[in-house]
Amino acid sequence: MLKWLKKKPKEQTHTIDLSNNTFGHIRELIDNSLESADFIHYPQKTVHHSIFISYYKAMIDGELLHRDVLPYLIHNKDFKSLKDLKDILPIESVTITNDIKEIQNKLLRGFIVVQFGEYDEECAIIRAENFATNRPVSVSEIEFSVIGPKEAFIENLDSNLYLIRRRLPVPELRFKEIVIGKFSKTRVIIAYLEGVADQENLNTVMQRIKDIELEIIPDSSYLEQIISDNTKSVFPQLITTERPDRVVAMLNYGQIAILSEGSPQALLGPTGISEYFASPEDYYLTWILGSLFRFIRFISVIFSTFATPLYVAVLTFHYQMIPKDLLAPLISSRVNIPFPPVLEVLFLELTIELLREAGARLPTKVGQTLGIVGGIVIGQASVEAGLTSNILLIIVSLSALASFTTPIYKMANTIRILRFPFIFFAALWGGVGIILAMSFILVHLLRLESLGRPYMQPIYPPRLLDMTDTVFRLPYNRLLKRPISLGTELPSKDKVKEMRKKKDIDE
Amino acid sequence: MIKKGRLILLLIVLLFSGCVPKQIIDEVQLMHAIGFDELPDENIKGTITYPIFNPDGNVRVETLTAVSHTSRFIRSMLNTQSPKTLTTGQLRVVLFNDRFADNGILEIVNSLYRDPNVGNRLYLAVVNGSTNKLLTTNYTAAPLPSMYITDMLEQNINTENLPKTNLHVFLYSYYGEGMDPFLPIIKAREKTIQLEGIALFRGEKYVGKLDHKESFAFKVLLEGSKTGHYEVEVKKGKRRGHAVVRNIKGTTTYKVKKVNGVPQFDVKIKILGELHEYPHWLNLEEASNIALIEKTFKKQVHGEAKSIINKFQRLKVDPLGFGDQVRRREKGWDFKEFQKQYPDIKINVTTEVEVVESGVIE
Repeated sequence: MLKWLKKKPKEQTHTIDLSNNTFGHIRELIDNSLESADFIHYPQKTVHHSIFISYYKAMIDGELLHRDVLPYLIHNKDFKSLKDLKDILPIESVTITNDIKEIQNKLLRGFIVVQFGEYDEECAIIRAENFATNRPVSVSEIEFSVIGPKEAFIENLDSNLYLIRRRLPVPELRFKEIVIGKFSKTRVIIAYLEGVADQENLNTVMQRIKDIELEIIPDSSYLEQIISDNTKSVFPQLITTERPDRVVAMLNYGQIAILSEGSPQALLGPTGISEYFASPEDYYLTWILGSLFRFIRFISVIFSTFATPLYVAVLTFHYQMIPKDLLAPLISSRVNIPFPPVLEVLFLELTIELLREAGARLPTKVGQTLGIVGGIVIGQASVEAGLTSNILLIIVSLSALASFTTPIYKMANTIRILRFPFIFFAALWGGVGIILAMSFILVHLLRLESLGRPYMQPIYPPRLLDMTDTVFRLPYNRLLKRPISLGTELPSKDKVKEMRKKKDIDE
Repeated sequence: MIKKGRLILLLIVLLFSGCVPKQIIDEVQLMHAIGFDELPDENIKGTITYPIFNPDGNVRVETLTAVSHTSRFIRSMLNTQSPKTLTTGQLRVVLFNDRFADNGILEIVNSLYRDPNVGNRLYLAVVNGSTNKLLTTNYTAAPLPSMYITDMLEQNINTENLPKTNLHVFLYSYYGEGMDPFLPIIKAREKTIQLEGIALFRGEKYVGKLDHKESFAFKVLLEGSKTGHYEVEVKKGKRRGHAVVRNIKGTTTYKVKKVNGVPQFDVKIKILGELHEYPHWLNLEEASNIALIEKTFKKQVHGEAKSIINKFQRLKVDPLGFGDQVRRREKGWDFKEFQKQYPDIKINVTTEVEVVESGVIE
């Protein structure tokens, strides 16, 4: 059946492979590099010899070259052989090598190459990377919190590692580096706490990252999508966060963080679905408020997903269940509307999606104006023109608002998209359709895994001890145990009791 | 194979969705109230009201009338006059003319309860007079007579002398052995609709009624109650006056004894009351005066309870479920036998009354 639908696979013609293009000889390397305008290669007279200096202008720190390299090379009388450079340069990283591959890699990463003859195979490579063009660490904008640290990751990997290690100055914090990407040679760091993180999780992550065969890795989101257990799912299976405090908290719970060069976002896993609705602020406010706000977030997710499908189902199929006092406002707002409830809902939902999408693409200031103007004007006008009922307008905008409460941006988007299948099923089968769609989603969620761990944990499989920090966040003296579901070791009962006590003097 | 399965699933969803009938809320006519009147030759006159909702939020009532032999065909006849299909999903109240109810209402109630669109909390009521007139009159109290009636019945159940009643309660006591149903009676006055009392049914037939004052004792006897007001006639020396007692908590306990195969009942009423209004010449600081009111209240409620129970026995109706009380306590109970015994059963009523509050009210 359906054989005609299947396409025959095409022969692969694209065979250029830039990953193994190391040159055989230094001559080739230099000649080829000179094809780029930013490659500098020139002879320089020193006290005893004449040397050749080569580097990529954009990649090196010019000031460092002029202050810490050139004066020593030119004026130092002890500079007789390349080995002397190790002693005379005030830079720790000076290597003498004739490994052409290493020379090429380092050259491209902002090292300076010094040779005696123009095509001498033996070279000294001096570290001079340019850090000046990094964006400073700035306030987190995607996961904003009023209380608590404001720092967010930036595009520079080392700076991100600093943000993490500063908060966890212990040797148990391990950073494993893997370089992936045939062209981009992106450095990827897998961070974990030795003795806390489960070895199995770590192996899974390392294995999956090593297996990645991409040419370039522009962002950690690429990694997320590739190493996700189910790439067909709309649900994100790893948390994407820009907050170092969140990363550190989760490392402490036994999760594993993945950071990649050039990406201001870290990935965290394995995760359970409830973590996507936890905001750092839940931990910075008292546990009662934190739990309450988290609970509100859960409610708003449910509302956001089911409000408009229920409207469609009730108005199309189940008019019986409308309370008598709600009948008048519902009907009188719909009397003049020529569409069935589905079209009405789809029209408004798409309008909101449009506003969101346009607002996200435009520059911030224009975007804000657009959001307000578009929201008010289009909403009001479509009600007055009799295209939508004003009750629906309220429901749709409330559910849009509710969907923005989810702190993890990727999950918020999923929640926004999730309602469309529900609307579709509600329009076809009413309440039965909603239940049907819900069953599909639930089955999918139950089967989903994050790095091989169940996605619905600790709700299913039920882990009562882990529930202390899911729907509600209990006070910190109840959160002394790490989640069982992450496979970490637990402190003993007595120790927990001891830790819960307040050690005041007056007793 | 998986792909094939998914495709079939999608086809099922899309194709079978055609089997679900759509009833878009503004494309159906929502019947709010139906009234049935008796006509000669076993004809029934059906009157329905439905609301018209204007875009500005105003509501207006429309009525349609048709004559036929059965309630369902009346609806079909009504559809011939209606711009949109008439539906029962929002039906709130069904009214029966008292003469119509004399001949039995079962066919209609039965057809209502077999209709899955009709809710069990639908109100049924007997109308003293023409239901057509009641439903077609404009009332100042509410724009929709249907809503007027439902709200009126609801609030009387919650705060006054009307016991809980709806389609479900009616059906329960109709089909339950040793019980008889009852319904509220309403009446159209010039500008208002008034709750007159309680209509008593023998089986499906309307045979007698209780007035508003009698309903107080009835409600306490039936289910115990925490609502209702009672007017007491007070006499002291030569002076006469009236006092009003609000029921705070009224409970009734039934005790059954069998003497020579005939059940005997001990009915014990206990009422805690709150004195709301009393004659000015009565000084409540004297305990004896409160005792006087208590005594008179007790006497009158007692008399009322006895008289309504006598009335039930005389009419051979059992809305209080005396039969059910016996059935609960007895194995192999014979309903037919009880029905024969019922008019002559000895039912003792004892009443206890206490006025617990006489100061600040409510």
